[in-house]
Amino acid sequence: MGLLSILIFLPIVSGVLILALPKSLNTWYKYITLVACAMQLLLASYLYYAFKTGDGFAGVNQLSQYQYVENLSWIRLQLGSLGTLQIDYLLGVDGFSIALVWLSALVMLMATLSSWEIKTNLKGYFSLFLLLNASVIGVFCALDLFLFYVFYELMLLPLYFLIGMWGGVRREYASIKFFLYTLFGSVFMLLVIAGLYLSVTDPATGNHTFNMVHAMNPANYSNGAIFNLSSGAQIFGFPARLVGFIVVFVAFAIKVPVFPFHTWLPDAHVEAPTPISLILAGVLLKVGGYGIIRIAYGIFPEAAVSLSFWMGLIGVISIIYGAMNALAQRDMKRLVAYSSVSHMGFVLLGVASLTSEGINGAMMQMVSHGFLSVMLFFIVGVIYTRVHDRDIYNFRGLANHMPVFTGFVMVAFFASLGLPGFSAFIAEAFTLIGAFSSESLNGYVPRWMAVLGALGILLGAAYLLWTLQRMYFGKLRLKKEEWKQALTDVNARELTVLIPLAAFSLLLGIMPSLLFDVMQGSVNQFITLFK
Amino acid sequence: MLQQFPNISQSIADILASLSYLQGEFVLVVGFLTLIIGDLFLKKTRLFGLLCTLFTLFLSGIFLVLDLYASATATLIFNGMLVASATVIKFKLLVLVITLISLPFFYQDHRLRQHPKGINDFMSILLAMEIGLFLLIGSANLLMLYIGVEMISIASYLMVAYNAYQKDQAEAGMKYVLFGTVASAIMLYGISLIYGFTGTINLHGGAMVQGFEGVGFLASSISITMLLAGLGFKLSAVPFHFWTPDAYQVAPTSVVSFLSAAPKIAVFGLLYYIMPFFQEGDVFNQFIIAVAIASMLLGNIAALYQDNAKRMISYSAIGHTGFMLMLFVLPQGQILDVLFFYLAVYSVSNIAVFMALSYIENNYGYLQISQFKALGKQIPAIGACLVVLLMSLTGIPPMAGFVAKFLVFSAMVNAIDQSAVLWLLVVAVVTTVVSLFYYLKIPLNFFLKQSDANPLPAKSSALLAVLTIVLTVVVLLLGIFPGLLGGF
Repeated sequence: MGLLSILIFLPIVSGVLILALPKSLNTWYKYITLVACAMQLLLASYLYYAFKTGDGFAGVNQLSQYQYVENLSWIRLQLGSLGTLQIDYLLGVDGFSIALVWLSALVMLMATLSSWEIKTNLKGYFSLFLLLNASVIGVFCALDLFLFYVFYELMLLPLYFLIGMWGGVRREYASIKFFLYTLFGSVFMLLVIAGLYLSVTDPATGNHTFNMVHAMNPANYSNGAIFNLSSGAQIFGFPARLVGFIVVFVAFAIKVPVFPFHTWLPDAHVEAPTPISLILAGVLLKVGGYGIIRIAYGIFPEAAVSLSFWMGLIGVISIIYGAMNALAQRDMKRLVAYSSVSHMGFVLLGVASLTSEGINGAMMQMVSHGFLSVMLFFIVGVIYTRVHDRDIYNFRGLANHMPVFTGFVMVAFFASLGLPGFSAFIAEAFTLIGAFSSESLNGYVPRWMAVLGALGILLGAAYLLWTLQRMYFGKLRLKKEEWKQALTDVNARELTVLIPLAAFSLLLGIMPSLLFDVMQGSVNQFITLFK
Repeated sequence: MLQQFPNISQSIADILASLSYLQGEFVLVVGFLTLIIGDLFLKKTRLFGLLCTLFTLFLSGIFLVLDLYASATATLIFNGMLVASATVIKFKLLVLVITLISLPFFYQDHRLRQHPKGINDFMSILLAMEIGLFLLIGSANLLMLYIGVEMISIASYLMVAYNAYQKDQAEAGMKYVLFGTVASAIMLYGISLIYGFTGTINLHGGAMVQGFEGVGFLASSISITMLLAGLGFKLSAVPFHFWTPDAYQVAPTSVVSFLSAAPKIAVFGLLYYIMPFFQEGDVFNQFIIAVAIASMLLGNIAALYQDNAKRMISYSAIGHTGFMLMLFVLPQGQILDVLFFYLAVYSVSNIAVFMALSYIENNYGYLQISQFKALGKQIPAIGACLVVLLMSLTGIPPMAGFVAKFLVFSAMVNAIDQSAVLWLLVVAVVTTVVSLFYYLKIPLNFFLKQSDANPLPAKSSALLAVLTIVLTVVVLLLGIFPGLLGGF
């Protein structure tokens, strides 16, 4: 059993352990989860530390260059004239996925710490939480499309219950909306996966294969297959590969989410309990970004190139539209949710530029947004658990009342708006450089998009600083008198969440090479797909 | 007449040679007679009925398995009335397994047990139906097909109305009989037209296909459509579905569970065998496309509005029928394994759902989904099973239903150059998403909703719960290791 399998199955084993323990031990559940997640983070850190960089370890479309690879044959079904259904348990990471695996492990640990606020039905909560954890890590490690899809869909069920059972007032609506949106995209994607399976053959065995690395090499497509570049197959009168790209892109765009597929996000975030919000923002949105890079762009590069203007445009609209919406919110959690839409727009803009800077920036933005959005949601959670209210106008002058907390709020807000020295600055700067240089380098994304993206940063500063001013500055004035006692400053457990997140954001802001060095080879290799 | 006589010895030789192919059916006949006669003397001994049925089914199954290893090539038997082949035996075995799974379910059903004449009569009907199912799967002649359909129909009329003492139960039973008779009549008329147009009722041998080419489009369309209408009734495909929701709602749950699986397997098995004989013209494909799309849309959309759990599942069954019917626009050679896998997984999941619903009904008396509020606290294990099973029916990994759905999608995508396939796929995907919404209603009420009511469970045996859990584990295992299903 390889290290990645341990990373995936450790939470599942812990979840089964929790299910097996009697209810009388329900105080143990959170500690079991904590230990599992801590071990997972240690292991992920080791994997990140031992990750080899350089020319021979780029990955992307070179299966031999992936690291920690595990390959077991999983399903072999004889299907008559359809041939043998060959599904492999194929895991491996390259520069794109290792960073996200590590980020997931970190966010899961933070979410566990934040789960102390959950008081009801602990057995159900922690076992579902661990199942979610396993499937998220699985998504980033899977290199077989079928396996990827299994993990991808496996995330939905635990999330449905985690939002639906422990969420806020409108939790039923939010959870079903989230489930339906995601499923709508992903079932169409399943058709494309079936098409890819029927088109791609394993060069070694000659069987059809779900291997996504093989699917990135045009030579592996059999003649006349629907997704073969030269077959000229059409779907509804459009080239098949273009349709395939759009379908896969939409499936992941719903997940990211980018405008106009984002409407599930504010509802899901607002209704979800704080730890689930952390996971949603910190990791699940990245699944969308990762899928766009790895599957949509990686497998259909020429279709992606032909649509890069529209990709960039959607990214820019998300940046501006998300920020404008955030400006208009009274509910803190909704504000942070819309800021996620805005920040994830940068990922799309960076990827659309298809320049080294843009893609590095996009990946940096995903990791950075992982730290910062988790921090922001946790900050909202700190206030909400104390007084069960999130309306910005019900709070004023918190700075004097909760000085330490306000310190972290300021760090998180300034980091999020792109203050130099924090990771978001590097990420957004690189993304915009990429978008700006694209017109002269490859002509995929026009300059004005970069300009509009920069405007988005300005809007980001506006809503964050305005919130800071409204809630934290001035004289203490709260909606109810008893809130004064309830709003105590952060405790030790909350500090253990906030301090590492702030530190990592600062660390990546000062030493971005910690991440760039790991990704460099993969990003360069990725760009060659589009030549 | 006289010149026919020389053939007699040949016919008799053929019949004698054919007898060995029907051992499974003969066992059923013997079991059926033993049960009826034995029941006369051993009044109301439940054990006798159970043992007799169980023994008959097992023995029949053993013969089928032996035949499976013996017969490699398809053989026509009884002067071309029936066909024996490995495929036919596989479908028969599937029906048999489904019957065996249903057997304990019948014995747990309060309504069947409360019948004044006991359950033994019901068991003899079941065995008779089994014979009908086997004959239908193996028929190679339109007359045989009609006899098979009628045997199934009559047995299922009796089953649905087995203890219909209330008005609405009798109404549903009556509706079922009336619709069924009309459908049979239409089918018979279609068969007589086919005979008139082509001069043969033998499916094999090419005479029928040639005959259709000779009579022109309109005549062949009408006759084929009428024949398929009768089969569509048994499949409860739109627009022949009107009886389904009513019958499902009021019939004993175990009967509904059985009728939603076994006849469907038999008719699909038959349809699989006869499809190449009718696929020559456009009619068959167009009929299938229209019925498949209508069934998927209507079944899934109507299910959205149901509050009665059994009614909802019955509409979802219509949707699943449409989904499976899609496959029949493909060439025969491409669909067998996919169809078989889907049927097996669908039947097992569906029966397990009905078992769970029956368990709830027996314990709490709840039939409406809105009554299930907060039941997850009382019976979390059944709730978890229902989640797994319903997600399997939706097609969410890692449940077996996902693999089944994916196999159907793959087979369809493989033939995407057919223009209708694309539309079928789009409808299939959209209705899959729709189906999630109503399937989730049960977990929603079970786990998400709060309730003040604190229902006291009635004492009821745990056998149904155990069976549900076992079948749920099977569904999960088949999802992760689909190769476990024999025949692959």
